[in-house]
Amino acid sequence: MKHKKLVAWGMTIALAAGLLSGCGKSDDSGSSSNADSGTQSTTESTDANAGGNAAADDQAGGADTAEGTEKPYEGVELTFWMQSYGSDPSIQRAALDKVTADFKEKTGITVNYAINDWSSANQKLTLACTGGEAPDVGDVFFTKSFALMSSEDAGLMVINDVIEDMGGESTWLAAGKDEACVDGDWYGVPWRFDTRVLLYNTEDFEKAGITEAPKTWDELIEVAQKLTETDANGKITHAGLAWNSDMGRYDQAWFSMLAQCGGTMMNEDFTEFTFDSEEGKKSLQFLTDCINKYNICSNSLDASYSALTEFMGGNVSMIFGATGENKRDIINAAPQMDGKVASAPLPTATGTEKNAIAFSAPISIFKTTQNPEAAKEWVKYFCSEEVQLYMSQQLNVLNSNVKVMQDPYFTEDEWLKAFSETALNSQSGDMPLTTWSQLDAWPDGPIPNMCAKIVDGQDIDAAIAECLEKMEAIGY
Amino acid sequence: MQIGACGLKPADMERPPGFAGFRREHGIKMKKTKRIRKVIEIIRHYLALLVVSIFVLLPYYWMIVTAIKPTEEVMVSPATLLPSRIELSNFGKVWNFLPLGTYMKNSLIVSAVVTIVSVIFATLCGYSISRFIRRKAQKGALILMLCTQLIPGIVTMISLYFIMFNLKMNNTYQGLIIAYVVWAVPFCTLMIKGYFDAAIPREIEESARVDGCSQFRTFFDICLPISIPGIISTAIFAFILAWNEYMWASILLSGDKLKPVSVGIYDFIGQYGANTKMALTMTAGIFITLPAMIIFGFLQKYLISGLSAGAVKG
Repeated sequence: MKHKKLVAWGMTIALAAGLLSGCGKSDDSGSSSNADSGTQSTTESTDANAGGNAAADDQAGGADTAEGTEKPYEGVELTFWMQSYGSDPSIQRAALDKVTADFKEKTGITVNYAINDWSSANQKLTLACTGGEAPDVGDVFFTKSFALMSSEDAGLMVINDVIEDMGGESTWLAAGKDEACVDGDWYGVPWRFDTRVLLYNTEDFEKAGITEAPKTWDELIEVAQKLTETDANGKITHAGLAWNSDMGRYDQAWFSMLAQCGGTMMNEDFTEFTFDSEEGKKSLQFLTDCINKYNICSNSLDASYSALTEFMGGNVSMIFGATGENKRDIINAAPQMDGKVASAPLPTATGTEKNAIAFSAPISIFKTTQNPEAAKEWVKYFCSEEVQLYMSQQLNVLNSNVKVMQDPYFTEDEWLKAFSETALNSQSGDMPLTTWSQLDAWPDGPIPNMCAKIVDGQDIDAAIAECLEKMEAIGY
Repeated sequence: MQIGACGLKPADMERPPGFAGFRREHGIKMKKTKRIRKVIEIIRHYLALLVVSIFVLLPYYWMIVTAIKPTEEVMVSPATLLPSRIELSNFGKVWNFLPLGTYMKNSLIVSAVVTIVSVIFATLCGYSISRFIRRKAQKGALILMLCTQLIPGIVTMISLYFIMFNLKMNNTYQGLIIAYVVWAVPFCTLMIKGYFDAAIPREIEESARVDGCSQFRTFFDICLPISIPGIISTAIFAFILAWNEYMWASILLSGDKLKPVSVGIYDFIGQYGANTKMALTMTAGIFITLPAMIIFGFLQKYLISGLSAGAVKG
């Protein structure tokens, strides 16, 4: 008993010491804004601060405030909800502290931000659109679903005027409009963007004598075969290729493949699914052939399989469908991979089709706001080119704004260049349907289920028919 | 039965003289066999204990090892059981990455209040049900409490959220405390009722009543002091429930100011569920589990006696 008490006392002292040390160092900015951004400087923030300062200098939301003479919204307080980006929360807090402080200096409006975790974001936004606690402005996704569940008093506000003020729909990439515009009305200003590229290990390429990333599916198979190693039983010991899908989720990889052979998920009006086509079948055949015929890609139906972890462990040479965050994630988690990671646009069936799918997300204003005009000023400021470039640099996310994606930060960077190119040659990944989250739900939604069954050897036509039947039952 | 002078039973005396020696030898063998059996039993017991301990402690071991591994070894595949060198810098760094101190303070405040409130309600309620079970209303209350344990928390989430929202209790400690107490009290009541039933003889209370104690004085002066183990085990349960809870806190609170650690640790998880700060997450995990371990360390003897008293005759 004496020993147990000693151990317990020891742990108490350790905890107290930890807490005391934390008191001196921890970032206590909480959800409040306008903290001194200088206290949270990071290596990444140094360059980008310049962008943020420029943003503050160049744009302050309204015409009055830009002149620096009038601050019609002085003293107004806004709440702003945002999801967490990257896995270093201090960088996001520092960036938001900086942007909100600059905005307050120019307009007198205080923006109190809150960073919500992704696991509760959907519930919170749902409650916000159905009469629960809502921010003035929020970082939204599944816009069509939220727009439809909005009522007269709560939910997302139509902000066509803001879109006009910001230059109209041509300001953003096509995926931005697909996500933010519902039946001709804009419910948000597109900001972050996401598309997929081919990630590869340059060291493996050099060893195999490969000088260039593959551009077509045939080249991809050839390169992957050179890189794949198997044991005497034909079991892959080093995979040339892996889908960027964990736990057997193939739908995202397949969406890109569909685009790569000229197919589409739905017709232009989004009233009918069109993947029961030659292109659809060809893409599904390619998905399964890479695993079952060419033996260049591990069957990742195993729930513990993570393509990124395998890449970091040196067991995979190429990942099909990497995201913008992946490089930083890899270097952070596996510093030994530094200098060995490169990207290229995803290969297409013949080299002429679209490279990948793309996603976007908007910043929206909620109808419950007491200060809609001030909220619009904040949206315009936050979504301005300069602030968006700064946020992209800080959070390592791509951007929906065409001009931001044309900035040398994206076009000249060895890693981001592929994303910049793909952004201009991509098609929408998420369909603007209210039931899309059910149709594409993992693991039991009809689409992921169809892909998994085909990889598992089921007949393609039968799997497509079954999928369409289930989709019909859910409705869209 | 009469026993002979030499200490043998009459039946033994009729047996041939060599039999006593045989019996002695046999007795020694029996003793040896018994001892071997006992040793085997102990070995088996400890082996089972070891297997269960490994099973239970492996996640904690993994958490500690990941926290002290050099960064380049954290995601190595296949994973290594031991670090090539010990890296302690994460224990300092973690405080800069997220406001862990604030999160822990919030968790401590909420958990402490939930524990106190739940124990007060549960003790009064549990005693009442234990001693006056014949009364129909209390029996009904017991059944209702059992029923509440069968309802998944998610079912009542929306309604309770809107109650809190309309009372303007979202984003407050009070709202969170009420939500937790609502879930903790029924189970705590059942737990402590079991303890009252099993560990406190009614005769003690009857003696007190004979000596002139009122019902309340009997409860406060006689029953409560001897129920300390039961109350402590209930308190530990309530504390851990509040400390670990995620769902309510994630819905009722927005912003970092009131966020508890159970929600705060999600700050490390990015958009696609990616977490590249695994070592820091594990380091935060160590700090987060310390309070519960400290409580167990100090109070485990009460916890075990409290739980087992309730279990024997519940």
